[in-house]
Amino acid sequence: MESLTSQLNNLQLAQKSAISLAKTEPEYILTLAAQENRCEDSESLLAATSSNFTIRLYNKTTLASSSNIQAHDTVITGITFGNEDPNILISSSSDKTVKCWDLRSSPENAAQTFQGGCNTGFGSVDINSDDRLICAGTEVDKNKDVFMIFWDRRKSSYLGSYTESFENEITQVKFHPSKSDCIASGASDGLVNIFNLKETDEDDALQLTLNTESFVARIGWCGEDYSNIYCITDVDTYHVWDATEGDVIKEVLNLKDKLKGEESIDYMIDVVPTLDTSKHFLATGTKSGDIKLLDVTSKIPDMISCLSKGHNEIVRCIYYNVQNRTLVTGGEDSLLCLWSSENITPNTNSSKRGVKMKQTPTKRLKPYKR
Amino acid sequence: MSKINRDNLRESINNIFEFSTKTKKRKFTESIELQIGLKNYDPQKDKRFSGTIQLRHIPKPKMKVCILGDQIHCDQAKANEMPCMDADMLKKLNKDKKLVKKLAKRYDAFLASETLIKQIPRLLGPGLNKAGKFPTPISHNQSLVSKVQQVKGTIKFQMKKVLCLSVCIGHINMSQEEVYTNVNLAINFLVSLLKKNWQNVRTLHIKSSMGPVQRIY
Repeated sequence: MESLTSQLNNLQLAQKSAISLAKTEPEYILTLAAQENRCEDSESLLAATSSNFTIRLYNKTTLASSSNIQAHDTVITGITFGNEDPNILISSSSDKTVKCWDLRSSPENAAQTFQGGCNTGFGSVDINSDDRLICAGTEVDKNKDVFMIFWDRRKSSYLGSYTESFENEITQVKFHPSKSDCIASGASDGLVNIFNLKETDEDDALQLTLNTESFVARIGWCGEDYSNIYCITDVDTYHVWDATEGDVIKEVLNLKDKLKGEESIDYMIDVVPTLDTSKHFLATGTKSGDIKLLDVTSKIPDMISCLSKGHNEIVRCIYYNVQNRTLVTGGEDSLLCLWSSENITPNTNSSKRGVKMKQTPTKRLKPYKR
Repeated sequence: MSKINRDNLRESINNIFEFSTKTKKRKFTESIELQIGLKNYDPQKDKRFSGTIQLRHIPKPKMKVCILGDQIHCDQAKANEMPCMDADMLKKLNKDKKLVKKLAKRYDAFLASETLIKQIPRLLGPGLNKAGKFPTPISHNQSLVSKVQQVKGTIKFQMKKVLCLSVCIGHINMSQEEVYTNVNLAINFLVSLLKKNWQNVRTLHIKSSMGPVQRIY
């Protein structure tokens, strides 16, 4: 089996898809989510949220545009597909609603809208491994309270909320991929909390609190049996902890200082998932849109590959498809790029189903040396 | 340092000191803060920027830090006359929400030994989380005093939903030179975080707690 390193090494630009051709106010692509567990992988969908408050669906392998959902009235903060039933798409927004979309019906309409429990917008959402619970984290309300709200998906009923463990808005909630009662939250107060939902009281449910001393941007479960939890902060530090004991497994605190000159990076995008606990891969980027994939397992970060000529603005989100070894990236230039390690002839000029493709950007002059 | 007129900055700092020490002296140590107005930035869609930077001169010397430690750290704390608590004292609180809240109110920040920090949710419950004062971990490799100095000297820039933010960067009892260095460090750091650097900064002001605002950019 090809190792992740060599797969990442061979990635090349295969496909590009633009969501808007307006050059004056480009729409940013903010988050990506993908359908897993779908039998015909060629039909699998990828959802991308854009800053014009819509969710766009694409085919996961070819980036052919499938449909758009005019989802919310304001910023969409989180999306996720269902785990057991991949036809469910959940989205959360600052307009104080969490909506559940059924992708089988067309036009897609919100099968359910979840509200209540608080009076502010939601910062993140996730669904648990057996699709029974939906949890959303909120922003700070007028009383300076922050909530983590739970609903029963099938009954659309409000189950309860946690409010004691946070001081600032919750930017990420992630259920454990296999344990249906375990959830982690990351907030702007720098804390990653792990809860055991089998306990009735919030005080007892709080198992572990991990302090990043900064502001949490992304969290996720990783490692063997998903027993570790990782976190990327707004100040571009990367932490991995053992989720049961709380021991620090890995910490990368000043990555930007270690890479200078040609190899310099400006920010971290996300983690490239790997089940191999001993290795850590990060996708990082530069302000001009280059993506650099790094192996940060050892003290000196190793650059595996540099993906350029794809984006020309900050890259905001990535999705790595393990089955067909492709990487999809979305950025502030309204482009979705597909990078593949197989030799697919780039299809930048074909028009499939009338999708307009943005022309490859001409090489920018760099009059000042970086 | 590129866009700020050095003399202008020195003069503004001078004005602040003049006002707070001569014109209207107050009964407490006024702190000096830097206020930043941003532009060309959409908090809804642009990438959030935040950062923490350690200033060379401590902006808040009266910040109270409590050590929650194991035996070694507690001994070090007592030797340096810093307030401390060990695991037994924490257990005595018995997860009583009111007592934990009181503890959180008494101090501005907490440091905890690595072994103890894992037990904090179980010993104290989420009280410290809610107060925003969850302890930062300390290991035995660092000197306790230096870590406390580090905590006191670090300032956080955090982007909220609005286009302005402010941070405390000094106080009246510091020398003007110290304030000058701190202001420069903070501004340069902030600008390096922004996507378009100086293009994102609309205005910069400094002021003391009770004094008038001095514009520096």
